[in-house]
Amino acid sequence: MPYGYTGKVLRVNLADGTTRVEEPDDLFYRRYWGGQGLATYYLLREQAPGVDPLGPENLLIFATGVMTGARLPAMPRFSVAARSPLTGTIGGSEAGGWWGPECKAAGFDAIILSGKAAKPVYLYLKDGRAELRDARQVWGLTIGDAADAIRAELGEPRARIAAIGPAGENLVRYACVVNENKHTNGRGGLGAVMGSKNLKAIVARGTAAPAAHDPKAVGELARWYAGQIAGNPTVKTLFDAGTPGLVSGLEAGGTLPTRNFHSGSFAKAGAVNWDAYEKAIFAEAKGCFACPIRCKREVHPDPEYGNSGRYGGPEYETMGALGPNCEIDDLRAIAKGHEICNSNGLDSISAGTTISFLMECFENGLVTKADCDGLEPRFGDARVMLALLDKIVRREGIGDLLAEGSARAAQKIGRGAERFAMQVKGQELAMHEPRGRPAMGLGTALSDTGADHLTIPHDPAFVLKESATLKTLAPYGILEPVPQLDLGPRKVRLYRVMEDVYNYWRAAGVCLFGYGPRVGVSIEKYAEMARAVTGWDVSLFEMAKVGERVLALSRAFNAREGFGRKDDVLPERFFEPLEGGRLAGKALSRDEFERALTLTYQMRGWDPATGLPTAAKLAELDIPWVVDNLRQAGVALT
Amino acid sequence: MALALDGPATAGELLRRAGLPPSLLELVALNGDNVQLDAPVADGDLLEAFPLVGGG
Ligand code: SF4
Repeated sequence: MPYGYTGKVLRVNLADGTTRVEEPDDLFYRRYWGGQGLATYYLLREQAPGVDPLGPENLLIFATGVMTGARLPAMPRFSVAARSPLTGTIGGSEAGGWWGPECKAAGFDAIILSGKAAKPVYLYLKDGRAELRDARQVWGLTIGDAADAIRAELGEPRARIAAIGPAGENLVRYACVVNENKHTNGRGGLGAVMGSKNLKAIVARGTAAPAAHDPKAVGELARWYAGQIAGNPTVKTLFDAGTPGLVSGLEAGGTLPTRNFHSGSFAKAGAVNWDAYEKAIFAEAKGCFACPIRCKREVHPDPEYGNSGRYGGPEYETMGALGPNCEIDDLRAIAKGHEICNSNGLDSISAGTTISFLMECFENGLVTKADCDGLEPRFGDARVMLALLDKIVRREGIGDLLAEGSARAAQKIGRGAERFAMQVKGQELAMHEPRGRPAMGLGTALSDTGADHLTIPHDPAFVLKESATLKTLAPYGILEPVPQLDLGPRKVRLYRVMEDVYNYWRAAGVCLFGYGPRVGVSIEKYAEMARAVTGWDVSLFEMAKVGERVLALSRAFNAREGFGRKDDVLPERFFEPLEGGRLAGKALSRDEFERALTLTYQMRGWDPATGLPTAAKLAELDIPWVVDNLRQAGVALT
Repeated sequence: MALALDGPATAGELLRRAGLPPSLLELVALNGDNVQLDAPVADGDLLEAFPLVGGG
């Protein structure tokens, strides 16, 4: 009997409306753990290389992890995956909230959607049943309005809904999927894949959550964690200030991305830090399913700015991308920008960084007022930022170009605009300055989904010997601090260890804010939780191997699409001196960065010349089938 | 804030005196360079402390 998961994967053919259920065996779940592991497995095995990401052949997969929905803190997450229309790589993005646990309670671990519906539909999952229903009446509606209408139509006030908004319908290449108005599978444009399939939403309602192997132990561990909230200062900072609390520290440390990553310091940071947020817009702390950390922020309605407040408050990434990185200090406008993004299903990181790209193009004379529909996109202009977000959602005027992302827009603008596009593999950088966080720079370059920040350790957290975050890595043999700006072998080793842990969590459905370095909560304690939920004798070694397997599968998918070491690069800007703040003048060293890349591949057991896993490594990870899969696609491994 | 030194002191001792427990800190810098908490501090030195800012 499966514990923690349902054992059921739902197949939905949107073209003919048929559904069927598969039941993979226990070994499959233990090898891939669900989430991004499960999704990448199916994408590699069943999808031919080279499919159009916005065509009907692109499989779209929603996958919970084995731990998703366990009655334990920070375990609400699920993945959405497909070939990304933004990058052409594997697209994979996780969200917390409530949808993942409800999907499992409705009877399914994962949903694999193929084809394209002839007209807009939504998928309704209820206690083991699946039904495609007409969505024409909600097509064009914002996320919240569509969800309200669907709940009313079904008479299901407690249904949990993952949906796209107009951005996804309009195939904006960085459209996202949003559940419960506030939780986004943000990166990679997976909302556009949903839109390309005429799929508005997946609605889940269930009453039979999978049982845990040892419910008593699960209860005790949940109580132990609740006790951590008061006693553990790192958990408490997340509870008290959420991710917006990061602004002050990043500004003080000189690593707050500002003016399209020119500077690490924003002169008006005090207008957008947590103190300002708390005074001006904060209403209350909220959380995800069964999570006592409650790092999410609710905000008051703001009629003057047209902000309803129903989409929650901006997270740090949104604050950074729509604020300092565009040199905008109007917090209420940033909150409104957040609402435009969440209500329409737009990734705020890519949207903000594409707007800061346009601002730099404008200020350097590469685009004119006439090109921008009469707008003058200058740094610091909140009104223009909000207008551009609206235009991107509707693909109107200049918004049609920006909806393609900064890399494609730069190609179209030409005349060297590429140097202003802060992107890797076509996806815009999250709000972390690589010159002050070189391991984050390394991980950003290596990320298989394009620039991303969720599988990378934050360099400053491992500098002090007394650091609670450093201590969480002792079970993995990281015993000594590593200097912040170091990118030598010890930093690469730290990164190597952590990417396995984080990729495991992407598979298992665990929020990285719950355990390990981010909050200083023991990873061994997490392993105890995994054993209590699954009944498997899970070890830290096994968890790391699962993470490494997910990483290798993602890289294999990308190899078939022509990606390799040549694509593991950072924008040139990061090899030039940072212009402002405490780390002004610091730059990444090109030689040191290339050495770190080579060493990372070698530590992974990959070929440093190609940046691809070797056949031996794939065998060691117990996925030798990937070698044949790649050979059939014309990719030879060493 | 200015703290008077009445003898040899380390960065960690001074930060505790300033009400900044190490568990809440991520980086400590002395005259601009990152240091450990046992670094000796002299009269006139600039000691900076940065809060936990990992993750996002
Ligand atoms: S830590 Fe925050 S984001 Fe993570 S599950 Fe808990 S409330 Fe959600």
